[in-house]
Amino acid sequence: MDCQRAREGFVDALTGNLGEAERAELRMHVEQCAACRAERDAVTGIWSALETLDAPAPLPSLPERFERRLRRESGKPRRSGWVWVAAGALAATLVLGFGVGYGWRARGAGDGPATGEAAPPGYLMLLRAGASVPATEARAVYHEYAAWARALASQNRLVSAEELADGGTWLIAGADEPTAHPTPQAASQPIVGFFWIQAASVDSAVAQAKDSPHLRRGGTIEIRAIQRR
Amino acid sequence: MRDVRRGDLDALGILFRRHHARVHGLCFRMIGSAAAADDLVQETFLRVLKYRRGFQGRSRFTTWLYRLARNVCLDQIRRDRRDAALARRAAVELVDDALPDVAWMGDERAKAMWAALQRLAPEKREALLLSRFHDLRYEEVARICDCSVGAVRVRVHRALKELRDALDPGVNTQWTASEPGKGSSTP
Repeated sequence: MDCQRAREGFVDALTGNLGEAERAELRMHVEQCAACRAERDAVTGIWSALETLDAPAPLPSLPERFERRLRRESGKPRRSGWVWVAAGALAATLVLGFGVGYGWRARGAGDGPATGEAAPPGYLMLLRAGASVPATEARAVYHEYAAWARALASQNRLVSAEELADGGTWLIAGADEPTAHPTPQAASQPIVGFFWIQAASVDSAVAQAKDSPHLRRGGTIEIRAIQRR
Repeated sequence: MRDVRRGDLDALGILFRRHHARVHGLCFRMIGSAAAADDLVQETFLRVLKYRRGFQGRSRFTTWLYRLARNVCLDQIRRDRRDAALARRAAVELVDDALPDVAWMGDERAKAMWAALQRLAPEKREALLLSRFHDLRYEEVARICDCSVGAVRVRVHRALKELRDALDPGVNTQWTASEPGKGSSTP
């Protein structure tokens, strides 16, 4: 066995794709060749180092979540088979990445209240700045917000979500007439986005907000009921 | 799977409980997000039901399942690419003075390895991950990835070479001394 074949053989051996005879031949070569021993050690090192890529365990509740989703989607009236499921799954992936990763309008995409049914009160989760993230983590953050948005949508709670542009204009009552001002310095945590959700009560809205990645990342959420008259 | 082919949702739930952790691991390492993996593993099993009549039993169920998972991941990667410009924009706009919770990434060695892995082309990444973490031979990886055995071999070889090239030699040396993964296969 020459060095070229030996070096190719290291990977094949590690991946379990080398027969016993070839492995024996490889071992014999390595015993006699210092350069190939070094190469073997380097390849083995990288192979072993892949162990560091621990995958977190799935959420313990994932099977129950999947089964609920399955029952909900399979219970929908549909013309045939799994056309509706495919459409629902597609809708659930329509997260448009704005800002920190949300940007969603779910009206009509989920299994919302049937026509004629009274919609529950709506709440705005106003996301205030404070969440911070290095550039290298943008994608992970994006997925966190997207997953949260998807979870809200799958529960038919999300109405809309958007990032807001920087800055803003405040109308402040003055002695004479309201005057437009830039965002006051005092507003140290400007609103950077919002989630418009449907919830039966403010407690329910608070419970939804507590799952938000925005809080985990140091942001603040202000919850405001949408006034219905 | 026979019951699933008849549309038995309970049977699909059983399959999910039995196999979802390994599918989740593949999705996580392909995409790099636990939250996304939670979603992708569900999408994979929805596809099990959607395409259940396509499973003829000529291959192992897990081979077919990994193939569905792999396609779900590639779809996600395509969406990520589409959104990449927006994500980059987000990174610029966000404050950058604090680290997020990246406990799942482990230590510095793991972060470096993770970054190098994510820079691999998806076809190399999937071949390497299936071989490394799912104990699959080239033949089975080829069936999952719908390519030749030779192509899988080349992808795994190139993936490992690119990882070596990408990683700090100092860190590499440190890894060389660490505990082997598949110790029995060490040449």
